[in-house]
Amino acid sequence: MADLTPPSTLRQFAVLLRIGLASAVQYRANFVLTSVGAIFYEAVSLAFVGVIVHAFGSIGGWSFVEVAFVYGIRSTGHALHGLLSGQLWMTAGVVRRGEFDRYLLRPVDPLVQLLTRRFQITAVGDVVFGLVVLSVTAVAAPVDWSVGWVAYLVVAVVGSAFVESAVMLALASSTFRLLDASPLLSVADRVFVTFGPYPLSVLPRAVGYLLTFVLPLAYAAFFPAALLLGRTKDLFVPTWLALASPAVGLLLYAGAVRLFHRQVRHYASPGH
Amino acid sequence: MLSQVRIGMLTPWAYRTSILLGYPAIAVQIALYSVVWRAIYAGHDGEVAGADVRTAVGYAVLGLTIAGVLNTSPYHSIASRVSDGLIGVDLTRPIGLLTQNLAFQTGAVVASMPTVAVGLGTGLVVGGLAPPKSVAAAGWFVVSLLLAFAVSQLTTMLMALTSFWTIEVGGITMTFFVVRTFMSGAILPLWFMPDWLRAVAVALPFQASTYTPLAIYFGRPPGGLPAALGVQTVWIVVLGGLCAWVWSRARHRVVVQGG
Repeated sequence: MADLTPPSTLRQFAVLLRIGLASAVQYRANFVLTSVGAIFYEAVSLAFVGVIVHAFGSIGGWSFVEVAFVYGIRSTGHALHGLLSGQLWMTAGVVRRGEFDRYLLRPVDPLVQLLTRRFQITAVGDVVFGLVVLSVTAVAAPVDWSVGWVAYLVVAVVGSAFVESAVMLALASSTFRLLDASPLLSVADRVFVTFGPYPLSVLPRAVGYLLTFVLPLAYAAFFPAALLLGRTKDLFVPTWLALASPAVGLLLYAGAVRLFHRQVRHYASPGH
Repeated sequence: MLSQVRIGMLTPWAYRTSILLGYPAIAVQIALYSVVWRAIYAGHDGEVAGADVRTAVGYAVLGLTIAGVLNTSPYHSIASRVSDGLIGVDLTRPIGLLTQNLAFQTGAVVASMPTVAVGLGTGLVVGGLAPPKSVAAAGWFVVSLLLAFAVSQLTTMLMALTSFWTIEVGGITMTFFVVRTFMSGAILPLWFMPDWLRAVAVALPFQASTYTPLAIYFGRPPGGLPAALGVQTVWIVVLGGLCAWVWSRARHRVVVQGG
């Protein structure tokens, strides 16, 4: 008698991701060029920060290496987020065209099917670029590296991806009621991209709190970076909360997944 | 030809949501940059690279607005017509393809005019819009803006013409967008750049499509006013010539998909 227990959600995710990757690499030239294009995209935002620090000497007392380190954490986290959640941008189309009907018929979590419907090619370039910047700046940054801190950095990068994915997933969930949540997604994306690399302590405090408690960008790079750089005096929240950033990311993501499953109930098929 | 302008104007509006989405995106971006610039300037009294905080914020407001209007996408013109096979229809029209295309792009620019209201409106709200340095600066700004319009349309068209060789390459278009945004000075004025990077930017046509009119507005035309306008004019001639040349090569290898 064959074992009929369905594979775990994680396993389903892995299988579907592999299928998506296999079909994406079929168009080899496009795959390579798109990844390279993505690297360019990331490199330009680093160049922006670089030019500013060059012209101004430092930002709020943070040197170029320190700002670049914040950027390294953010861009690697953002890349992992893209790998996991890039397809959320397609939610509106999936709902409008009734593609979601199919997801509901298959014995796999609809969210897993949505996230794995295509492989996010740009994420490959992003991951490569992010890892290079992160390793270079981690070595150059004035951090007292120990095994514990390295482990914390890895966890913080993963947490950074979950923070961003949680925000995007929560916003994408509103598609089932609003039919199109992409304006919300693009506003959140702008905020993450624009403010991501800066030490948030230089922003007006109100904006800092907004980016901590409303749109939780601070946990995605600034808090862990400030701790690793020994700049605890720049934190505008208790140290334990900053230290818990990766956990905050996981909690937020778990919450967003729950929210998605609740909002799915409002799905009205366009009828096919 | 006017009908082509009209089509160019109406086509974007067929995808109303994506246009309407563009407005909050521009507004948010302007608001964010005004916060970022003020934070960056917080530790510095007075000017950096000859610009004070008011100029930097004002530049972001105008730069993002101008780029939002002028920097049309090559996707909607030749590129998508080639990959849909519709280019065959275009070629049977009694107007030259380049003329058709320029008219179409002009229409797209006209269609994105509300962006000006959104951009400048946001600029007023965040208190970042300084009036031009002088009446003369305002006048030459308008002249330079018209030249910038020509430069940006020709750049977009040159990019679009490459689609006769490369049918489906998202990566190249993406790289084009990014390099254009950065090198045109739409978000970052060239005066903040280190010398070597500014040299690269000055050698490329993109700065003539955004940075030049902005610099004139803020009373610091690159290389003096005559040189600034001269460089723009030279780029119009060079890019126009390049477009005509590329098109003369391309017309022999047009692939009409599904034709």
